[in-house]
Amino acid sequence: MNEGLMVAGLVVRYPNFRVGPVTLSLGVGIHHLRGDNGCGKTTLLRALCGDLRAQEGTVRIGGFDPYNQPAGRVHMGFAPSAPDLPGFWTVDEAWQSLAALRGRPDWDGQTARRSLGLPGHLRLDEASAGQRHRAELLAALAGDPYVLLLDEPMAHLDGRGLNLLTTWFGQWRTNRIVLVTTHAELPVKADSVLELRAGEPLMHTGWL
Amino acid sequence: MSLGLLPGWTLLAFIGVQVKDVVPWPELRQSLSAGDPVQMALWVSALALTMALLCILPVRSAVYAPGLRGLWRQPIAAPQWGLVFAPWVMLAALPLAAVSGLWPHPHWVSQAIVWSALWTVAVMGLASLTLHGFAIGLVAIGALGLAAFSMWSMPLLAPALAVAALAVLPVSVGLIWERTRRPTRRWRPSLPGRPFAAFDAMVRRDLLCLLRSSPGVLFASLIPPIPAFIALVALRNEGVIAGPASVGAGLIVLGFTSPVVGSAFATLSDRLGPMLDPPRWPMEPFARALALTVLGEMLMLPTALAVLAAVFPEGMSVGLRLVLASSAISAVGVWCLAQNHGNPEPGAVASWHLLAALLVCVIGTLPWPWSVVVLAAVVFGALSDAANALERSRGRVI
Repeated sequence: MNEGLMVAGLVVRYPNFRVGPVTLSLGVGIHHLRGDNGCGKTTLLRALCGDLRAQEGTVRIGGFDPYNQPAGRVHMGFAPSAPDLPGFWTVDEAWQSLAALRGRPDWDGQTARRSLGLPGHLRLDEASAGQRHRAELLAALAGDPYVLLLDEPMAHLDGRGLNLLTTWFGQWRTNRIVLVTTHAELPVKADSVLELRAGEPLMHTGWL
Repeated sequence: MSLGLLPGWTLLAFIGVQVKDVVPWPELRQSLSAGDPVQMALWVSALALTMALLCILPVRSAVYAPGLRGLWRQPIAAPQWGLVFAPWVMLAALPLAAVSGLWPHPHWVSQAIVWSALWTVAVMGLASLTLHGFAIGLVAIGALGLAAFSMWSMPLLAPALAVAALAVLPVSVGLIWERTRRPTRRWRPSLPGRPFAAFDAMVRRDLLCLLRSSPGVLFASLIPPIPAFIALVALRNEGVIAGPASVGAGLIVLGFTSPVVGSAFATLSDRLGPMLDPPRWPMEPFARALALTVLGEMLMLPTALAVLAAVFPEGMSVGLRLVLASSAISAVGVWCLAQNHGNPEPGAVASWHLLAALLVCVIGTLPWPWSVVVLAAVVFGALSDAANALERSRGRVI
């Protein structure tokens, strides 16, 4: 996989709110998308992963259109800020299922799970907010996707979780495209910082 | 009431009007008046108890709905909850109220209200799944029987029982309300192994959802095969069904199983919401629809096997038609689910599916080659259109 995350003129329009137009060209590295509350960071990530269909523009992840080519979504993992994995799943079932969906049923998530301090048999609807957030992160990593979209990944994490995430950011910097949203600073230096403002265009073509 | 249920209710009203013209109601009332009062009261009690037991799961789903959690911690007392819930539960007593219209009583409306109120007390008590609740529920059912009996000899007893029911209602609702405050141990069934492919992962996910959130839906699929097999074999041995008639009988039995599939899909829609078909997961809409069809087939399998075993001597063509009919019932269930994806009223899925399943059963009775061709077309068409509906709902700006 040597193609990046390409976005051209992406616009998501609500009746009284608009995100974009957004034009991005991101390669391997850590990319920090920041902005005030309500400026559209989560909306943009949801549009990039295919959860929302933008009214204008195109998205290519690893050369695939995430809207019209579901097979291309195997290269992408998304960890939402508001957990939405089914609560009846256990932690192990969540990452195993996501790995199978991404075409890597033999992917071993036990090491990552232990690093995150999560019991495998823990049901997601019985997990604490921090545990639930870690489980979403683990599910996003399942199957080793090339593109990671992380929405407020540091929320609810304790010191141990933050240290682990810092270590992982260091490792991912060289082999993945990681787009992280926060309104605070990242624990590591980002390769690029994208500032999103409500209703304003965003353009970043640093990687070609 | 959801707009999604309106077509079903309209059809029901239409059927009701037609039945009204066909059934000789005055004669029926007269014959009931001439019946043994004790026997009639027992009959009504049994009917009310069966209806109350069937309502336990839906009532618990409504009371413990995640959307109401925010209200639980508000300073709302049990009587106030009773005022909120009782009218909705009482709506489910409509069939019972209709039966009360047959009773020999000059004021059947007041009688219907008494029966409905007592039945509501019983349902709320039974749905609390506590010892006290069961006691209240059984006493209320007994009182309902007494109210039915009183029409022959003690006309004033019914209003007295209505007042008593209204007095007990807050206690009955309070029991289910108290239950929400206690931590409960959950049954944790699981499936062996881990998913080996995307398709498998989705089927397992849906199956686990049913197994862990509404196991009753799965167990319900195991009940019909036994009476179905016994009834079909008995009818065949008696010479009542043979040849084409056996196809019709088998399809009727399969039609009876269709609510199992409909309620399973309605449960999935309710429990999973938008996660029924998450747009960001790498799965083609047709494969997703097929995964749901496989789940529906799994639920129909016990009855389909029982029917096949019962009608097997009639030949392979009958078997093929039954297999295709069960696939079609499952596929139209998926179609209903896909069309209602995003609809906040999951009951619409079940009501639409029941109508569609009846249509499938009618198609199955067509002559031999045509029924197979049309049923196969129904399966493919339902799946294709379900996939289109899922595709449309993906990535919708919300």
